[in-house]
Amino acid sequence: MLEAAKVDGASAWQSFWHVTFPLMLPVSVTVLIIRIIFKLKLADIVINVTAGGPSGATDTVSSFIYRVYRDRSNVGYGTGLAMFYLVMIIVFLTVLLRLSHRWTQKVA
Amino acid sequence: MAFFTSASQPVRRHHAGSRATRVLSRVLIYSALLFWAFVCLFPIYWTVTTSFKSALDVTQGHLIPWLDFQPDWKGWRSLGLSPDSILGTSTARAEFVSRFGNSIITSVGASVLALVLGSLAAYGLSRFRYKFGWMRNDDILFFFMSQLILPPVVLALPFLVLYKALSLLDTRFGLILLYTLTVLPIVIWIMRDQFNAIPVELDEAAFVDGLSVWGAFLRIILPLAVPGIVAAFILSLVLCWNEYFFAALLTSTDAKTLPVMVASQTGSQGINWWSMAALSTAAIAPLVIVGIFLERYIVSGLTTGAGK
Repeated sequence: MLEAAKVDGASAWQSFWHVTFPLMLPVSVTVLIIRIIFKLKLADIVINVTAGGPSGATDTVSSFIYRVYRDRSNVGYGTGLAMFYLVMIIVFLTVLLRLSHRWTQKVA
Repeated sequence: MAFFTSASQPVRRHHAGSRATRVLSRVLIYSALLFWAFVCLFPIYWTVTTSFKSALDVTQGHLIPWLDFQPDWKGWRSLGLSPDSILGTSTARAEFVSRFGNSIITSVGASVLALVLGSLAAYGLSRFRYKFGWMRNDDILFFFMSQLILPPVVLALPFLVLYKALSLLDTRFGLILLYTLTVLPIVIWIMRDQFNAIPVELDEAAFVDGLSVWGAFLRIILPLAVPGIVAAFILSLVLCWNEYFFAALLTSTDAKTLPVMVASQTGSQGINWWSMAALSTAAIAPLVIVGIFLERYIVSGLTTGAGK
């Protein structure tokens, strides 16, 4: 396909932008979504580097819930937060997957 | 690299101006790549050099050994791993060795278990049709994959209660089971793609020659799937090796792993940067070695896939 693009007179930039990129798009979007999922879970680095400080400015949701468990031993509040966060993530990712699916269908 | 050389080989029909821009673009590309390699490798360099610094050099940010500061085995001596202390007895070294062993046992055990279960599941999903209520193969795969989005904090408390009831707290076996659970979706995903890349005709030929499903899987398909197996193994090994959250939560003395030990290098006079850096270096080393040895398999797997 790249050779066909070359025969048709496409420059390297054009052949990347109009041939390679659309073909790679589903993979790229999958990788992006997986990275988003992994970083939504981020807790250990935050806990160890800043412990959420200064005064919670660098907390992720995960690290905040962890600190609620560990520092305040407020198990009920922490579990409630965790369940709410799970529901939020499921809704967010469902919407994200739908949108990205529609978008890749349109572009590719 | 191969791309650049093969692209530069064909007939030279460009005049001088375009050759100048070509050289310029090459220089730009290489400098961008070098810059990014520097950005990626600098933290590792910093960690390794910090393990040889004294407290003053750490706080003053000295960077280049012998020019900025005089390297010393300080971090390694506190671990009992420097040349002058390695022969004597050291409690720090005993602790390090036991944590290191825990890390190796849990991550290798979990990766192997996940590979066995995962490749069986992936083979099933790739070759047979399932109907589980309204769920078909793709739905079942998505169900497996959806386990990935569970944040560890959501599972933390249930697992704490469950492991207490099963008296699996602070055991390596408990950690292995938990890590298997967390890496299984990725292993199933990789292995199913790998099995899908192997033609079904090979299975059919094996059946015609009188092999059972298990025989075809073990003797024909699995040897062909080695690149995928190695890729999945390395990925799950890295994920288990670096796992901190559950290890910090579910272990206390017996089954503590390396990341927990690295994170707990805070003494009464602040953080012992040198011993933390030495520990981190020792924690990075096994994965680097594994990566170098298995790189060949990864690359060969990629090229066989690309040739089709």
